[in-house]
Amino acid sequence: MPTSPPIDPSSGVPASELTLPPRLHRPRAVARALAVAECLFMSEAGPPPAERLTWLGRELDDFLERSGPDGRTGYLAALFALSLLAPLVGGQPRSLAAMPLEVRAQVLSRVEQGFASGLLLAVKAMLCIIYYEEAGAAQEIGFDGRCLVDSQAASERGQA
Amino acid sequence: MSGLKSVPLSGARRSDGGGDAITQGRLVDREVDLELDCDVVVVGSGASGAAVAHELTAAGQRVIVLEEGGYFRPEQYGAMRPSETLRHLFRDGGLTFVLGVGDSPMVNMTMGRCVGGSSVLTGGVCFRIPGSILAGWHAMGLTMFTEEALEPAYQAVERATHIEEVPIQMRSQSTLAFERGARRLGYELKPMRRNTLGCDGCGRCNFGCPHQAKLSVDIAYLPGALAGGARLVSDCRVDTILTHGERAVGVTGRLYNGGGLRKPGSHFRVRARRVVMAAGAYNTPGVLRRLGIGRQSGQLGRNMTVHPAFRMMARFDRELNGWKGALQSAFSDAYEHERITLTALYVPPGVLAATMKGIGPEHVEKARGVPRLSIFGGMLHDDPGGQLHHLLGRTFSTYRMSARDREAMVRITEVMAETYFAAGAEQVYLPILGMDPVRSMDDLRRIDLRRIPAKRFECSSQHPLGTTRMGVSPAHSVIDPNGACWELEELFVVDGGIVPSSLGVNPQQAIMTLATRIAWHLRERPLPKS
Repeated sequence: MPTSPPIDPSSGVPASELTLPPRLHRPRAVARALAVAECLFMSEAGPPPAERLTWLGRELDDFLERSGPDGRTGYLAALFALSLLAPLVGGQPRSLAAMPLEVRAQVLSRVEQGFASGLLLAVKAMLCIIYYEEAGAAQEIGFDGRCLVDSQAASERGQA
Repeated sequence: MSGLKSVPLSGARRSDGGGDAITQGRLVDREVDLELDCDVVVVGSGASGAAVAHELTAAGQRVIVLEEGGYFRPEQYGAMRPSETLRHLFRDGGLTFVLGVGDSPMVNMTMGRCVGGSSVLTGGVCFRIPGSILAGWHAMGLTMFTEEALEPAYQAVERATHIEEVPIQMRSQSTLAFERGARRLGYELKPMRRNTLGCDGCGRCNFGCPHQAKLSVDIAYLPGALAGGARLVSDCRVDTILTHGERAVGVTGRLYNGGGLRKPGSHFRVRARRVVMAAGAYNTPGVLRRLGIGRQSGQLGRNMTVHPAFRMMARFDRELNGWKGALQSAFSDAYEHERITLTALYVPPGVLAATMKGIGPEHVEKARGVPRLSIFGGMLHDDPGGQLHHLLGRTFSTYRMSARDREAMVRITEVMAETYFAAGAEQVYLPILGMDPVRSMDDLRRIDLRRIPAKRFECSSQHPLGTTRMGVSPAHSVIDPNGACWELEELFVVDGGIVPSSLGVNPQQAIMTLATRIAWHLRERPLPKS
């Protein structure tokens, strides 16, 4: 059976290192990702609330900053490649972010059916993982797993 | 390393860096290099390293454990959301990919990078090594690994980590749905065994248990080792093994106190009478390679097995809320003869939503179906098709799936889909990128799965094994059956790299057991003079 740890209870990574930074580290990459997110999470009622996308952007930026050079490079490369490929696949002479939402959705759907589906999955996966952790987004899809969404406990994680 | 200051370990920490037992490398003053001294330095604090540290400390040896990742208290990681756990505790944020060569899938391989290693991030699943696997090892000459010989180490691990069966009442509705289909097809699910105590089934053990009910090694082993006098340094990357003549005498590396993972900071050197590598099958070979170890056999970094795993989702006509219940509560070995193990699991809703085809309203509609989804996984007892490569100081890996594994991958898909339809699923989402869900077995039969490129299969792995495999001859293996490196004295390897073949089941208990067995051997083996 485990024994009681002799560890100083104040040890562990300081809470200040677990909070989001005030400014984005990679604003361009985040903008590219949000161009995908805005149309990925668009329902028949329209795009998701702006504040939720802002939150998603900050979380994604923090994820990229902290997740290590190899993971970060891979994700940024997938994002960059997607932003180059999507207009070509969709026959659109403008960047993904500059396309109207409906057109962007059609273009991304075409990417998802084609040879670059893996690229889109990589980008989409991290966006979805973070997005559905937001309590409102989780609620909208009927998810109430208290241990897996943004909860009071999570916001107080550094103070435990 | 010239000009190293000799700093006692406790003196190297700042006041907020933890007790005397733990030094967080990230908090050490950048102007300070560390020079430490011990009997045994253990590189890696995961399942194997923690077990070895625990055993050797109990035997009175002075042990220092080095960990590349950070130190998070259980109540810290237990309060994180999955994406926070990914960014703080997983290697590469969970975005490590194994490049499929030829007609092989790309494999997303997730590994821990924190104090406690991957044990913090498993579903807690524990299996003894199957008899059929031990028989295969005997054919390799490893006849000392019998169930009787391993029994004492199994029992020690099971006591220390409290391995118990998951009660049937903790099965989620998602698992019960799959089970109904299995029964109709004539096979049963068996209860999983996990290292838990007081689990309430909140369904997120693989992102760090929020209730400290999973006895990962940061809870089960390390506290005892630290109480017994072991010391742990986190946030430090071991670059090289120090040698004197034909003997390992310590390790050197850098602390992550330079401002980020790309900017290692001050140096450290640990002098030791014995070096134990426990950095995992993915990382240990890179350190050994710098010494030229492995040239003799040509086996270092080769023979990697990954247990390719495929996740199947099925949509039912009612809400299952599959996140309520134990994450991994049951398994089936009914297809063991086809080298397939089926295991219950659950993943966060974002992961479910991401893998379903669709953008915009189509995606949102499918995401709203998450409460009606059941999920089950299939894992393959694979042939050793993986290899590690090193370029510009970085490690990457490739995987060439064998023809029979390629066929088994299709079988996993067929078996799980058939089970779900037998259970009454409305739609089944095959683990194939960009594919619409299928609605019946007739739909499934119309799809020629064998003609679909393997790269479209969504494949993951949590179990790299075999890259420093043990054997009875230096011509065919990197280490001997007692964990000793054939090519350098007093260098031992204890992590999953030593496992000489795929296990076909989750390897956590096997790794802890083999490490415990090696630790007992080291306990009896006199330490060399300094």
